[in-house]
Amino acid sequence: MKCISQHNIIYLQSNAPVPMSPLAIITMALCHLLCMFAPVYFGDRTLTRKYSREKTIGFWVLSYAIMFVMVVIVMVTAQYIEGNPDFKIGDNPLSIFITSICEVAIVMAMFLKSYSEPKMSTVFAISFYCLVSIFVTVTICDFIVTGIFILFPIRETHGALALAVVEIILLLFVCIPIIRKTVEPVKLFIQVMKDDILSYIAITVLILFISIVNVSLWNGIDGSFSIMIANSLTFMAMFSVVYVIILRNLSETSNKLRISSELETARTIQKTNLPSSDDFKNLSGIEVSASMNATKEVGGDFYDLFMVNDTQICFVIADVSDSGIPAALFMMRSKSEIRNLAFSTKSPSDTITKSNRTLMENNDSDMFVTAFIGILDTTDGSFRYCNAGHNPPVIRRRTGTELLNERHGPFLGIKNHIYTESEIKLERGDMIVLYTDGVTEANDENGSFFGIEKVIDIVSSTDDPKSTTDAINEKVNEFTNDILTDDTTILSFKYNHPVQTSGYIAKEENLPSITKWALDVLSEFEEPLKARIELLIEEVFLNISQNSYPNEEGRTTLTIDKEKDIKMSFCDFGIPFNPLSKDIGEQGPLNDRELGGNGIRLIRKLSDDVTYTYVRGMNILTITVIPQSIREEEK
Amino acid sequence: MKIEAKREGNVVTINVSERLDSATAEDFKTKTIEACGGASSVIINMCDLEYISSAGLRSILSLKKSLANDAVLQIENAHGIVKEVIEISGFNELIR
Repeated sequence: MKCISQHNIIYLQSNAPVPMSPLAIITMALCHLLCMFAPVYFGDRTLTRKYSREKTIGFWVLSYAIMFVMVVIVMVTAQYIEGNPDFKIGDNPLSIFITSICEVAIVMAMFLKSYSEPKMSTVFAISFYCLVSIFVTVTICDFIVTGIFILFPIRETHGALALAVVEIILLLFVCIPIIRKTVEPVKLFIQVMKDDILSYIAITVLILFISIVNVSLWNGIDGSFSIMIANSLTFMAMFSVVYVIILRNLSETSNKLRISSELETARTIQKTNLPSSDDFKNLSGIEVSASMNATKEVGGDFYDLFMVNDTQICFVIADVSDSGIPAALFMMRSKSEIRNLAFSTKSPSDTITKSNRTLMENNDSDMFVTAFIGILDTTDGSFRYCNAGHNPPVIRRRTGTELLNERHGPFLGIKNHIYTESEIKLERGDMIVLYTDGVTEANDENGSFFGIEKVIDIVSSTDDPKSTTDAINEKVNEFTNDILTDDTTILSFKYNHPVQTSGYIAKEENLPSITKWALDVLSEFEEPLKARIELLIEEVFLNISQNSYPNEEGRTTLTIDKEKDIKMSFCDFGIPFNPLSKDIGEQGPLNDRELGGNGIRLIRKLSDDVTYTYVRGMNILTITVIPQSIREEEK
Repeated sequence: MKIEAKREGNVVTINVSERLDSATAEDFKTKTIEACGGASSVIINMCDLEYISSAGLRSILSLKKSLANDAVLQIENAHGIVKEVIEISGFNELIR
């Protein structure tokens, strides 16, 4: 770019071109090379350099030297081709255009060669845009200024100042609109720059300003060597500043890109770490719904839901003090502590007491977490819970909607405490809604809170967990005008009816035990149906032992839900295996048949419905059998 | 499971009773293949059979494959769930 403005004016200004003595050219070249040291030393702080600093500078200097020689060759050639000293607008801009493109290309190549950033292509796009826009605007300004010179020939130094003023005014009206216009269609740039766009425009304008000063200085030159040196030194200082700024900006942009992509990944990890609706839909006897809206990319709230044994399901909701990355890290720690301890203790109070102790250790940042843990026994609806400084959950029963107000101790992570627990028995249709303070303390424009009364109203007027969760979220969003100030998390569940579950090691020798257990559970049903059930269990159980655990011993649980029709869910943690994909279909003569595959066909034909899903390491095969009595009723 | 095999010349009649499931299928297979060696006609009487699973079907298929190509294997007196299983598994060509 620096070449662009100077030379037009030289041609324009002098009847005879300014003689560029070899010494002056070398001095100028040296100055330019020197100005490449500054950016690498002061500019590329957070960029990941591929080579050592010295090598990087070496690359820059080398590429710049090549470019400079090229520029000089083109300039000199142009001068010779033109032959006469008069200004020719047709030839000269072409040579300038070529050299400028080379300059842009070399600078960009050096960026790519010297730095390895995860999003280097985007960084490249930004800097390329920056340089190209500078080039375009400078060229346009140059043409206009040249035109002015042709119309009003001003000479000598005092004219230079006037020229600078004119060019600045032109800049404001020509360059900035052009930059704006070039930004608009290039969506990538806009997306990448986001709020950085002003700083890029600022750099562009700064470079243009330097060009103007430079041009103005050159105007006064009579070709003497001392002025040439002074001029070159000015260049050196100015361009050093510009390149430092460009590299600094690149550094910052690339750092921001890196952080935002890291945050994005963190958010994904956090989200996939929470149970999803896929995990809920295979639960028997209960309905569950959950949602979490984090205000920052990562949040401090969490909920969790898992089986602590064959029949007991654990619900957790918690809120870590603060939000953002520190809260998210503490959240992950709390979540895994609580999960592990709930598995081993099967008791809400023990889980809370012990995880409090673990979280107190090495908690130098003094973070704390409020938590509510409840364990529901799906066979009889008993619900044990422990509340450690968390908002009281809402329970909706046939008798009315109220709060589970008991508190069993302070929040976790600060001081030792032996927590207690409470127990209630849930009846069919009872619903419990767990939430974090982001819900009740959501602010409207006047600063008033959403409040617990509204939550109670919603819970008592909705029917199932899904619509309750959705309604609370919707009302909170309405209340706050979609401006959340804190993470809002909701976990609601409804106890529909008891189910029976039992677990066995999936080995052929356990087939009689699981069959006996299932037939006991289904003792009230008639004999032909029991024979069908027995056959189904044998086929599925052996299938699991052969295919899910071919080389190891593993458990499978059988959950029987006989509330309406008979639903049998087999869950195992073995190799992902979909038995339904192995259906052999209709077959030809017996002699051509393979020995296997009959089991699957029997499962399909003897059941009224069969589905398979693989969720979080679990093979779940659900078989529905409709007893004759229900079939007749439906008719 | 109990098996009784009667041989009259090249015709073997097998009476199988109780359960033919994963626990007994292997036993059924070895015993019947042994009893039916060289037979041109095999009849499995399932009159007293109460239960059959895919493992049992597999042992019957193994027995069928062990016989000569032109030999005949037939099932008779299957009833209840046993008959249902045999039919839905496409073994009904064996039913007499």
